[in-house]
Formats: sequence, structure tokens, C-alpha cells
Amino acid sequence: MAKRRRETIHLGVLYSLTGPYGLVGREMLNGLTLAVEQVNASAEFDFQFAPLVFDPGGDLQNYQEHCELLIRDKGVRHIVGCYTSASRKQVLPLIERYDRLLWHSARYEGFENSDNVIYVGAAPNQHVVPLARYMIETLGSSVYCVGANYLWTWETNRVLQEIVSAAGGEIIAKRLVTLWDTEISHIVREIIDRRPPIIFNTLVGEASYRFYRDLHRALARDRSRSGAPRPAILSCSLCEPELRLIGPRASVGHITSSVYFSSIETPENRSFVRRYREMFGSSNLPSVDAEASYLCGLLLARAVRRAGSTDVQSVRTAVWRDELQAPQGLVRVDPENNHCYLTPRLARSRPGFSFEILDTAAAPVKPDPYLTWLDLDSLTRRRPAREAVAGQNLRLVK
Amino acid sequence: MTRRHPRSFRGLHALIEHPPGRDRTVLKNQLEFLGLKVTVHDQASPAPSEPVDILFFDADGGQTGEQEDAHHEIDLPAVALIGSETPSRLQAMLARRPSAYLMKPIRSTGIYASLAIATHQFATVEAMRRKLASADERLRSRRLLFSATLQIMKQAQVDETEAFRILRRTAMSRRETIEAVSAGVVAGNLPLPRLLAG
Repeated sequence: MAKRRRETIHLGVLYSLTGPYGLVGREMLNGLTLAVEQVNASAEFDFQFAPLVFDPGGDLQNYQEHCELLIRDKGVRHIVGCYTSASRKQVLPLIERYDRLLWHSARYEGFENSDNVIYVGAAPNQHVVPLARYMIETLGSSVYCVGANYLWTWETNRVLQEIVSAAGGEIIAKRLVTLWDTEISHIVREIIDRRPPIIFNTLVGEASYRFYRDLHRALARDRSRSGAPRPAILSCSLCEPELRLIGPRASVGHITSSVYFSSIETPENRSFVRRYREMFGSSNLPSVDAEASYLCGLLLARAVRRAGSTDVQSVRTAVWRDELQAPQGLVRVDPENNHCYLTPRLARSRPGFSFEILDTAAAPVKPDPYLTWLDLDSLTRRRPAREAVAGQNLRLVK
Repeated sequence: MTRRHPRSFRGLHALIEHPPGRDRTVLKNQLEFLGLKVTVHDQASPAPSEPVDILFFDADGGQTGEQEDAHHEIDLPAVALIGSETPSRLQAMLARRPSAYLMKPIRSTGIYASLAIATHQFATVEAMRRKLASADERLRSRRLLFSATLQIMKQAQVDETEAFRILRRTAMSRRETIEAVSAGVVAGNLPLPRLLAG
């Protein structure tokens, strides 16, 4: 086949592949790499992507410096990157000042809408609100919160607290540990003592894995004495690669709210998982972060093709008109706020480091980053049987 | 020392509570350019010993959920430095009663306005607080005044106008407020003969 000379588009990548959240950074780079390979191998695009990958190593100062380097020295117009809100806030002033586009794959706590960011990760109404709703409708409303002491925890705990209070329940404790501190034995001891029925976990990285492991062990020891029921551990971030790090037994039975699980049964997802495993190893399953960064790459490529240019304003307008059949389902960008319509799901971790999906939203949910349309009454007015909920709002996927 | 222009903030002592970085540097430089004396304070350094005239504090970091309620009120003009607009952060920021705010990233533009707004707003609120406190005090003493008037009316067999006149005359001659004299009457420290003696 005769090959036409294709234009090369340099793509800035700002993911921390090393440092405290290097695991997620590598996941996100994997997802993006899959998209880049797909675009470069396809005759449907008359350009190819050349990613310029920078690794800030989780250091905020590096985010700023690398971003400036990508914009000023490398001249990139589009950057895929960031994970924590702190890192996004570091680069946002530069991105806005130079009028570039940041393709942001991570879920986050909301309360932001920049013209210069395409938010592909879930907004709070697409992760924490569905989890809180599920909790009060099926599990109860007396919650013990444990988390890392930073913005994500503060804000998700606040949303949970508002919903729980409206439902007449209570947050029975909030236990926070310093970010990246893995000393959680006092929390495990307290949980064994108090036996809260529900635990909401916003710990990060090794602290979180250790928490699941240590609590599992402590409960097993304690159960022989009291026979009390196990608390349900809920999270908005637990994902497939983390289950493996927690271990085969301790990783089972935990509830997560997410817009993507590798066990979604659609042709698009089966193909995505197959290609992911071919490229990154058959034992690996893509996480929600990998899917989101894959979508960043794909949405950008399709928008550049539609716009016929990498010009920021043209690409932004083009991506607003796109509709992508993604592994998670239909995804499109809401022109009102640059966040995406995504499909919330709830799942329970099962043996083999994957998730059994319990609930799927009937349709992609409009993003509401400021929770402007959150109606506490509608969340708590009725406490119907689970089947009724599934029929009305959520489709039960077995 | 020469008198400063009323719109100059020269010589004021500003305290910045913010971790090091570009935001803090820009703020410090601009405040110094505007003639303020600046102390920076983070968790590593001790609080300054000199009195502070205006505080700039980080609304993003610091305390969390459990200790939020324990935050004591700031009794000087304060400017919040805001990065995250999440309600949890805003709530913690508001608990510190700032008089003005600046959005991050901090630029030199806006800092002068924040000084003007914070000092003015703080002075306005302080004046209102003082007024409210004195109104509260007067409201409380109304009951004393009423009790004292009644007591004099009964004991001296006079009408209300005359009883009040006695109170006022006593206050004037003792160089005290009517409220203080009323308190004395109600407490029994000022018997009728002394009042009538003037």
C-alpha cells in the first residue's frame, strides 16, 4: 500500500509515571498509548500523533516547569495529563495564559470549569452521588469515613455528609491520615472496636491497600470471637490494578462507584480490553483511568480531524459536536462546561482481581461539576425496594 | 515619621500564611513594593512576635474536617488566598472571617485592591460590632433603668418623670451614667435619702 506522507502532531503528555501515584500515571499512559497507536495505524486520520512524555514524578513544581517546557519550547497546543487536583491547579494558569487545551482524564471533586480543559474523568454527580444514593437505598446511612488528608477526601466526605444527613443518617467518624502516610493500624483497631456497618474509604495508594489487607486480617481474627457482620467498604477510586496489589483474598467484596470497569460486556469494551492486554500483558486489565486517557487521545484525534487543524478554538468546537462509542458506552462533551456525559456504574470486587457490575445508569449522565442540580429530596424521599430502583433509574446488569 | 497618604499602606505589617512557591513570592514582592513590612509564616516557622496589621492566609491547605470548628476568629483584616472553589474549602475559609480574597494564581494586579477592601471592610465591621455591643449594653441597662425608676416612684411617692429626673440629677452630680446609677439603686447601694440629697 502506498503511504501518503502524514503530518506529525506533537502531543504533550504530563503524567507522573514515578513517585507516589506512579501506578496510576503508568495506567493513564498505557491508555493514551493505545489511542495513539490506534490513530497512527488508521488510514482514517491524515496525521499521526507523536507524544512528548514528561514525568513530573508527583512533584508540583515539576508539573509547572514541564508544562511551560511543553508549551514554550516544544510548542504543543494539546496536553494530556495531570491526576491530582493540586497538579491541575499548577498547570491551569499556564494553559489558560497561552490558550492551550488540557485533556484531563482523572475523576475529580468538581467545582471548576475552564474553557481550556476538556474534563474526560467523572464529575462528582457521576461518582460520589451515585455511590451515596446506592448506600442509603441499600446498605444504610451510618458511615465511618477514612481517608487521606487532602482535598479529594474533604470534598467527597462533604457531599456524602450532606446526602447522609438529608437521609436522616450520620457520619459516625472521620479519620484522616497524612497523604502518603501508611500508618493506619489505629484506624483498623477502632473499626474492630466500633464495628461500623459502612466504611467510606478515600485513602490513597499503599495506605489504602494496607487498610484493606489489615482490616481483612483483623476481621478474620475477630469474627471467630463475635460473629459480627463484616462492614461494607465503599470507594470511588478502587480499580482493577489495585485489587492485585491488595492481594487475592483481601481484595474481594468491596463496592466501587466508577464510570468504567473492565468487565463491561459490550463489543467496544471487549475489543478495548483485548487490545490493552495484547499491548501491556495478558494479566493486566485496564482501569477507569486507562479508559479515560484512551478517550482523551481518541476524542482529540477525532476533533483534530473534524476541525482540520490543531487550533485550540476549532478543536474545542469540533469535540463538542462529537459522539464517541467508547468502551464504557456513549461519551460526548457537554459544551456548557467541557465535562463529559458518562455512564455511572456500581460494582463489587470479586476473586480474580476484577469487578462484578451491580448497577448501570440507564443512559449517560449529564455532568454537573458544581452539583447545581443535585436534589437531596429526590435522593432521600423514597427508600424503595432495590428492584424498584433498578427499574426506575438504573438497569440491573448481571 | 512623615504622615502617609491615606491611601498608602506603607509601614503596615503583613503576615502571609502560605507554603512557599510562586504565589507567595508574587504576593510578598508586591506587598513590599507597596511599602508593607512582610513576614511569611508556614508550619515550619514560629508565629511572629510583632503585632500584625493584616493577614493573608491560604484557603486551600491546613486544617480539615474534624478541627474545622475549632478555628478561632481572626481579629484583624484578613485576605483569603483561594485556589479550590470546593464548598468544603470555602466553608473552612469563611470560618476564618476574611475581609477580602484573592484568587490563585496570585498576580500583582488585585493585591492593592485587596488591601483597600480588607482594611475598609474590617473597619466597617468593627464599627458595627462596637455599635452593636453598645446597643446591647444599653438594652440590658434599660431593665435596670426601669427597675430603678419604679423603686424611686414607690419609695419617694413621685411620678415617673420625677423619678427619672432624680436619677439623671444623681448621675450628673456623681459624673456617672444613668445606667450605673440605676444599677446602684437596684443593688441597694444608693438609698433614697442620698438620691434626694443629689
